[in-house]
Amino acid sequence: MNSILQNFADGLALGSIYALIGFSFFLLYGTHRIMNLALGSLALAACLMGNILHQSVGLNFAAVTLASMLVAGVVGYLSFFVLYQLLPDRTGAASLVACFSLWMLIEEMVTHYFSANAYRYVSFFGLGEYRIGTLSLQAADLTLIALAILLLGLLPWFLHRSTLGLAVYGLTDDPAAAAWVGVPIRRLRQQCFMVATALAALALSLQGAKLGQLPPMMAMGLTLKALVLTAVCQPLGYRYLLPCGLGLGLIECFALWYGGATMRDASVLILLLLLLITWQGRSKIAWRLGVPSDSQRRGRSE
Amino acid sequence: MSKGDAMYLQKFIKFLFILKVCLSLTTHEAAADPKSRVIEIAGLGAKSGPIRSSGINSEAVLLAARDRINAKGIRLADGSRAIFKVTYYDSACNVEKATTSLKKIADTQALAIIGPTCSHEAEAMFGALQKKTADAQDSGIRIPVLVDTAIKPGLARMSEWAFRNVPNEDDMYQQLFVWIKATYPQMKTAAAGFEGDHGHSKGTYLEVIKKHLLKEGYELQSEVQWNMTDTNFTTQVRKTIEKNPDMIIVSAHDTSTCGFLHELAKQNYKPKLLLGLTSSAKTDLLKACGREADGIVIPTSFYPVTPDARLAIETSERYKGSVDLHSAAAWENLEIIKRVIQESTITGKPEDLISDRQKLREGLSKLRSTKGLLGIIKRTQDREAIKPYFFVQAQESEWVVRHNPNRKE
Repeated sequence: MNSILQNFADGLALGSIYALIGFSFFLLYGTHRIMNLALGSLALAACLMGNILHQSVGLNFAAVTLASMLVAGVVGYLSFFVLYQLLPDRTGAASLVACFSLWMLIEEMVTHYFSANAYRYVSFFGLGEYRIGTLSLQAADLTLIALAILLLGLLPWFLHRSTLGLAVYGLTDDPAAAAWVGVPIRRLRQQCFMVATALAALALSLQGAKLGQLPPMMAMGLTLKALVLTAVCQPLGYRYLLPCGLGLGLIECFALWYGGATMRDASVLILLLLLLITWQGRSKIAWRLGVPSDSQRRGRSE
Repeated sequence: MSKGDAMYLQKFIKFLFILKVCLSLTTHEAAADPKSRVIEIAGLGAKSGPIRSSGINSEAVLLAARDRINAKGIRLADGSRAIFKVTYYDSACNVEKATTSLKKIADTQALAIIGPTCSHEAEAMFGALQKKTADAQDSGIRIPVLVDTAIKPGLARMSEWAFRNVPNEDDMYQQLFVWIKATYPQMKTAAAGFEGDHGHSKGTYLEVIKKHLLKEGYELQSEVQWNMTDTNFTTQVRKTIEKNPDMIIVSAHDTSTCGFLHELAKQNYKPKLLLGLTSSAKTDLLKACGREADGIVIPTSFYPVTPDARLAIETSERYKGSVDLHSAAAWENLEIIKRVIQESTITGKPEDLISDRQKLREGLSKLRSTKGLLGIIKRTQDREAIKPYFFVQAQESEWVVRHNPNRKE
């Protein structure tokens, strides 16, 4: 029983990071219709650059994270320019190939320019494990879970009640209509790129503080899992990012405990395969949950 | 794309071109003496990927060894002088890249190959070599390959063109557990974790470490595995420490070993003894997680106890690499090739490449012992090596010798 509860707690922590990074992907896909595969590696590079402050000057986790988010915002803006503005065809294969190329380039650059001792990450304010009975969780994990619940829980309010949120929601729903009512599309897209990259850097910084290190290959694993999550949640909507992310984390933890690393990787891929090959099945799930389809929202019949 | 964007893109491409031209004009290799013949040697290793440190270190040490040898030159049978030219290829610990590189190198003027890094690469490469030299029907590639790193047992038997200069892990871990039994008699239980997707880590754990652990009577409480690219070890560590083992064995390379040890520290568990994989006995492990790895004991075939070993360390620093049990073998391999060239009738001329490769192979086969950085290395009939080794322990971010099995007490 103890291992079940502990795995549940670990799964929630793992799922929180997937939900946060998945939201970043979701935001970019919604506003730009491109899957920014380079997001994870850009955020990782930003965190490693921020970590230089800790290694050289001894700054604490808060300062390092803030610096990482600022750097991530800047690289997010640059990547918007490279991946979006410069491409003749801003959707489809060209952008996907460009994103993939940027991902590989950033990962190679990080591997070459940051040596092994640069991967050692700043600790989370020196705080360690917290115990509730026989259950234990790292302070960084608790923060991740709280952050995911807070940000994704406030998201519906932001998107439907705030001016900026309404503009973002309008852009994701119908860019032409949003432009017609005066939403500054280009500036909003730039800002979304910057915010998405900064949010991914925040999540990675917490994960790095928890693990004690931030090696380059971390970006690949997180990117793939977040993509799985985005693919699963796309027809259901942003409201299901948090439960789906937490669910993914739980599946991984339990599969790893009872079946090993191979079962863990297989379970995620099987889940993705089942969902993708039953595209109509997902639409049916959305219908059962009462989530209106795109065509219903636009008032056209399917 | 707007006109402004297109102009910006053009300027950016021009800038990249000029940068590339400027970079290509700089070179680290000293100009060859026009009177010396140039003998090409190819290096092959993982310079990218999770274990890129192995390839980078091997290349650095190989270049340092080249410089030392070229300072005096190589004496050829016809009285002329030759120098080495080393070109290092990146195989990325990938089977397809390694076999493609093998075929590519075989078509160049390279006399021999030093490498590769990963055992599964070596297996694939040796499969592509000619198996028996007496078999004229075998159209396999005919170029000597001297392995410095790929350490999985028994690979050299696959081809008569394959030679290995790697330590015998079976002997090392057998002696290690005998020593642990004598030194720590109170230890009874162990738990183990290993990289399930890497040939060396998995093979050494399952075929060597586990075998000797159980043979010495220890109880194996749990086994967990992870992938080389994993970064989250929470569940694996929880499972490992569940039953409070005396000893924890980590059969993994430095990056994931550090990840595991970081998590072990975060969960506030300090085992009585930590054991590691031979490939982790390097400075990179201590740089990345010296505090967490404090106390880990690993058998290794390199330690700076001799003047030659210390010279190798000093000269390799110029190429930003470090000497460890794997990269030290790259140095030794180049010295071995030099010795065989000087003792044979290898000409180093481009038109004699095929016969030179044959002569090198025959010369290497006849060797019964070679001079290594730590002392004499014995060579076996099946083209493997028996190297001296130590048990080292990480103490305050430095490797310290805990036991020298080579010394008869």
